[in-house]
Amino acid sequence: MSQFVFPPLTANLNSEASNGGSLPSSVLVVAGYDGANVRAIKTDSTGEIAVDVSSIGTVTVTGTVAVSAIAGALPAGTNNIGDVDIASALPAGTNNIGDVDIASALPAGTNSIGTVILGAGTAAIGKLVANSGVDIGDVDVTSIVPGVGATNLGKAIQSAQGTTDTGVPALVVRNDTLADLSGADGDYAPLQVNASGALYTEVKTSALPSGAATEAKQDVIETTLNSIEGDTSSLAGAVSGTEVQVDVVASLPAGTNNIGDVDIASALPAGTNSIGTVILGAGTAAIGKLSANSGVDIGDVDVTSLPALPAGSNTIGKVDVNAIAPVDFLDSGLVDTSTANIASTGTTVVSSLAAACTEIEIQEDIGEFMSLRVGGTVKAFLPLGGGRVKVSLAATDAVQLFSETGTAISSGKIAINFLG
Amino acid sequence: MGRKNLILTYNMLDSIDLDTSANSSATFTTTIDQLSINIVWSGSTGTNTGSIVVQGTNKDPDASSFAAADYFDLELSGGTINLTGASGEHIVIFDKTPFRAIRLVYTNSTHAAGTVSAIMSAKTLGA
Repeated sequence: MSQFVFPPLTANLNSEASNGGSLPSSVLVVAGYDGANVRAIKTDSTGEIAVDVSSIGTVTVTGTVAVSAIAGALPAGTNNIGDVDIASALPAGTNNIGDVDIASALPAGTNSIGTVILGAGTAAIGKLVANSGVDIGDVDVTSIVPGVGATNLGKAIQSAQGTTDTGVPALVVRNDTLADLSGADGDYAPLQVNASGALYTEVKTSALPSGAATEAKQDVIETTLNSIEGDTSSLAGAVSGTEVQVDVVASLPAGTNNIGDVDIASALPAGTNSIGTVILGAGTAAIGKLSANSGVDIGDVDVTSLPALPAGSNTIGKVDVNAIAPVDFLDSGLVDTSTANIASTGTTVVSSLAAACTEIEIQEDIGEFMSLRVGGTVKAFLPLGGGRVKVSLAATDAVQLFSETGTAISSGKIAINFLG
Repeated sequence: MGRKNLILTYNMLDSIDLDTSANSSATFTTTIDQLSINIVWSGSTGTNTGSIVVQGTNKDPDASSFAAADYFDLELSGGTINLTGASGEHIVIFDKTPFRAIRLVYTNSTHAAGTVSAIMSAKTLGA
């Protein structure tokens, strides 16, 4: 149970003590006031008063100020610490100074930064700006890896040569009188050229490798080459243009021999020459002109067309004309006009042809002008008293007779043979 | 010889609901020198908060012109009387009562079901 008292309790003055006196059994707790709220005055665990100085004027410290730690960061803005000496080395391990910028140029004169060590791994210096006349000074490069690309000075052994590869040309020494420029055996020496720029070389007197050409063996090679030259000249005589001319001096071997395209330049030799079966190619293959040769039979020949008879009188002689058989007749066989008039507008169909017809043969005693039509189209005017007429009638044509007198024909008879 | 005034038991708050803020009636203290108020509350479990303030006035609470603003809060050693938790008890002791009347003001914050009572006992000195 909590207890609340009115009026509020006041300090117990019995707890006061004189300066230098002993500590009373109970003490008055003293607080501070920040202008708005009461604040307790605290001590640390040893009884020392903890003091936070929020603002302070100029303070002169004659003794030693030991700072164990600066708890917070310096306030924003410019904080001039002044001359800071790091009396001893930074402690072992990682020490993060943060981002250090040199705001302005280093002062004139010599500024010794000391030893600058780039970190291991991928530490880079960055790109040096072109600045003619500025010397880097004494730089020791412990190793160079030039690269082996087209624009690198280095090249890898057995790699392919490129047309625009970058490289360093080798310098040689012109020495009109060849002499030793090294000084001692085993020293480095430059290549030397004469006044014309030709590189000095020396053929050592040691034996050539086994089997190599020597001066003493050149005549043997020359003899062999002459023999080859004679043989190739003979072969060249058999060449016409780009083709080698070949004579077959003996019979072709038994069996099938495909010679290809063979032209017989002159006549076959006298005597019997058996060519075998000659087959003309399909299409327009022509035999040419046959010479008169009485007693020689051509055999079974089909002539597809004959030339026209020349102008003027031509005596044909005896001609056998193949009999032309009728292909059809009038449906009624004989048309009696007294019972079946032939009207000027045509009769009914007198025949539907069983086959194509090229000529008709008419027998009639009517003695009137008539025509033969198919579908109203005149195919032939019939000769008076009968006879033959060339026509062109197709199979299944429906043939009709027409009176060409202007009136119907009603006297006399007519018969027609349709010839193929 | 004068006569000693005593108030043995008087309920300023008599089992009022904890979930509702309320004010007690005015208790006249013109003839009282010392008094104590025993505050007891009991409610549901959970996070329950509320507070009681003792107010005093030197005006007549029965006057028609009296207003609530005529009460002033009294400062106590121990600070604010908080009614925290499901149940509890406080004692408020007045060594002096130099006021015409006092009253209790209960302000609920998060109390739910339950009741609170304030029992006063008072007397005069001397006489």
